[in-house]
Formats: sequence, structure tokens, C-alpha cells
Amino acid sequence: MAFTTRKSLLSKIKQGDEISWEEFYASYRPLIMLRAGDLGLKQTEKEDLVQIVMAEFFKGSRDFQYDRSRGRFRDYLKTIINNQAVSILRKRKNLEVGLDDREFILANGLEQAWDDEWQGHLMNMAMDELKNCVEPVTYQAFYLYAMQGQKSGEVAEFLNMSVNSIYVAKNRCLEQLKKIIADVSESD
Amino acid sequence: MRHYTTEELDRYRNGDMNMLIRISCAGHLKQCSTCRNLLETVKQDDQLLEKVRNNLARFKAVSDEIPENKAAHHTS
Repeated sequence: MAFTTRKSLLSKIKQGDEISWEEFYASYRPLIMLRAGDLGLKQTEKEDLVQIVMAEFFKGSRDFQYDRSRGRFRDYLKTIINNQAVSILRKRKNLEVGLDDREFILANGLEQAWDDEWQGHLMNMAMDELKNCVEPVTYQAFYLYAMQGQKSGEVAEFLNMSVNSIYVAKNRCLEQLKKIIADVSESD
Repeated sequence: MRHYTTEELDRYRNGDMNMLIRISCAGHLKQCSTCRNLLETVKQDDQLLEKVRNNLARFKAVSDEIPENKAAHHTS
């Protein structure tokens, strides 16, 4: 999913588009799982959290209006995740007296952790978007060499390219990736 | 003075260069601040790539843990 089309994706979800919903799920579920880990949830609880957050988001999606002047989407999503995660933790600890959500998050240094996870999510999306911005063989050369760490000579032979072309592909993709990351960070 | 390209300095940094050319490049770098600055940029770019790689691995590991989308059945 291209980050720049998030607004249109949310709009399609609001209209009940199933494919857009699947795209949204695939894009955000790893982020929710990582956040769940930061918040101390166990494996089964993480899986529950994903389902609950998605259902909660879906429930609110028909009324959700993507309006940056009212706040960032990342903050809206963070609130849903945090609230539901704390509910799960409360049930586990069987607390009758309310555990202040915000205090819990702040006391455990989890605000910074969310920022880090969100940046990771943007980087992940930027890598997805990169595929749409360069030729397939250029991306493949970049991925095999720079991401998988294969030797330049082996990649060159596999793709029937010169070693220098592998380096050119790497740098071309890197420059494009830096632009995409700058764009998504600016529009966040 | 001919300056080295990003790709050439990248190859130099990775030791992926003919020995004679590598020696020539090393000699040039001692005298040329433009190329030294570019080499520094190449190093920083590699640090960014490492961050991207590690991030990709984290997200992939987590993606592999996730069960089928049960929420999708609630869309109707």
C-alpha cells in the first residue's frame, strides 16, 4: 500500500470495500503486534489485540473522517491500540480498581516505543512503495544485494548484469527510498 | 582532478575493486575532500540500509506470527 494513498484507502474502507479492508489489515497488523509486545502482552493476547483493534477500527470506520486538521491518524490508531491493550492487561491482572492508562504508558517509557514502532512501520511501507518507483530488475538487484546481503558478483551473475550495474541499482533505489521516507514522514 | 562516483566509492568501501584501482582511490582520497565527504555519505547510507534491513526482518517475523484475518468475516 502506497503511503500517499492512505486517505483513499480509508475512504474505500468507509464505503465497505473488502479488498481495501484486507490491504489495511495486512499493512497495520505487524505494527499492532509489535506494539502489543512493547506493552507486555503474551502471544495469544497479541493475537486477540489484533482482532479487537481491527474490529474496533472497523466499527468506527464508517464514521471516521480522515481530516488532518483534527489530528493524526497515527494518534487515533495509537489510542485504540493502547486502550484495548490495557483492557486485556486489566483482565489478566483482574484489577477492580482502575489502572490509569496514560500513567501506565508513560511510566513504562512506552510513548517513545510507539514513535519507534511507527517509524518502523513507515519504513516498511516505504520499501513497499519503492517497488512501484523503479524497474523490477533494479529493485531485484537492490533487494538481493542490499537487503539480503548477497555478494555483488553473485547477484550480477544471477541477473545477467555487470557488478557496476548492481551498485548503480543499489544507489538508485537508495535515493528513491530516502525520498519516499522523507515524503511519508512529512505527511504523517 | 577526476572525482570518484558514488558507485566507485561504494565499491572501494566494500573492497569490491581491482587492487590497483583501490590503491589509486586511496591515494586520491587523501588529497580530495569532495570525495572524502562523498565517502562519508556512502557510509551513512549503509547505516540507513542496515536500519531498513533490520526493520524489514522485524516486521516479517511478526507477520509470520499472525493468524488468518478473522475480522474480515465481520465486514458484512
